[in-house]
Amino acid sequence: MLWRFRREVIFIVEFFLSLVIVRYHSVKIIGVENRDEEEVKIINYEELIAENLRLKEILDIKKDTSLLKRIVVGQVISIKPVVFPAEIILNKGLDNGVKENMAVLSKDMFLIGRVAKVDRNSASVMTLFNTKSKISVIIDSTREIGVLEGGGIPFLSLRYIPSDSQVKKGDKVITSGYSDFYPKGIEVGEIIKIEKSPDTLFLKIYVKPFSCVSGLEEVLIGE
Amino acid sequence: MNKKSILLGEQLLVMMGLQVFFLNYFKSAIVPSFFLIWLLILVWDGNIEVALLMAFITGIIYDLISKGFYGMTSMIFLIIVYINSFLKIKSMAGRILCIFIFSMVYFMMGLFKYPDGFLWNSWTLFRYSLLFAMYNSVVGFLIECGMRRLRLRWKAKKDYLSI
Repeated sequence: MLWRFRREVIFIVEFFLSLVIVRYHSVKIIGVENRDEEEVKIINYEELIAENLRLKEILDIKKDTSLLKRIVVGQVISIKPVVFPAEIILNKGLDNGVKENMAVLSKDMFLIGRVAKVDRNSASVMTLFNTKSKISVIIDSTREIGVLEGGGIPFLSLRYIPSDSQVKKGDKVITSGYSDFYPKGIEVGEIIKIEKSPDTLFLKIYVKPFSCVSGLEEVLIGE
Repeated sequence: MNKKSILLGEQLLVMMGLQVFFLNYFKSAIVPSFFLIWLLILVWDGNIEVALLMAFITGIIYDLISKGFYGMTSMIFLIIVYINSFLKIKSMAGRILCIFIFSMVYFMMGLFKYPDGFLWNSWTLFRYSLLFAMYNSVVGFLIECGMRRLRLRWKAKKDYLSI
């Protein structure tokens, strides 16, 4: 009897075996795919939450600040070079109301630099570390005016402060408001080293900028 | 081990070699299925049970060397071999036509073979299945011709030895 239906028996047994193999393999593959998708989703959620918090913080600053009349929030898309950058590229441009020479600040309201070049959808920022960067600043404690120059990595040099100045280490440096680019009162950095030489009229002062440019993701562009 | 088993083993190895070679080195999206043609010929030669067993084994081998779900090709091969076992085709033209039709069926059933899903639209699928069936028909024709010639030679040799 069984011998008569041997063809059917072989077919059914092998078909069932194939079905078991297919089921086992598909469950394995789909399980791995689902797990990978879930992991990607979790990472994306975490990234979104972090971005949300950062933007919320910026929004709060936008509401509170009286330093800038108009603020545009931009994202950093490129930093050149990565360490002590001279230039950063933002994703906002003319279409978003960004203009040349607008001040660029970190979300903690520390000065990063100014917009040097602007296209329709992007802007190039000249940072404090750039050799061409020269900013008119005031020492907060003594109210003396100087020029903060870039190029001297890792610190900026503050020039034209008289040698008889009462400036001391740890004093804050803020923008003077005398230039066309920056409003008055933006915090730039703190004095970390003062060198006095008897044969010159001015002190040699080193300033450490507050803004850590390499850790930035969002910035405020304002005027 | 009898002569028939050795011959079957040899055939399986040859088909496997050809299939692996074509899958890896043939620069085309469509590769003829030597396993399918061989299984159909096995059935026509009267080795139905062997063909059913081989359908399972070659299907697993094919899934191992291609990117399908393991076992899916076995299922398709089994169905085709089982249906073919009821067809008693003797003529060359009939066999080639049968290879053509079963190849198209096999290719269409490939819809369920890939874990990522089939990305082609129905027209592309039809065109590719037609191309696949044509490839298989040509390969099937060549194998049939070769085997018929071999059989004639063996028969002549046997007749000569029996004189």
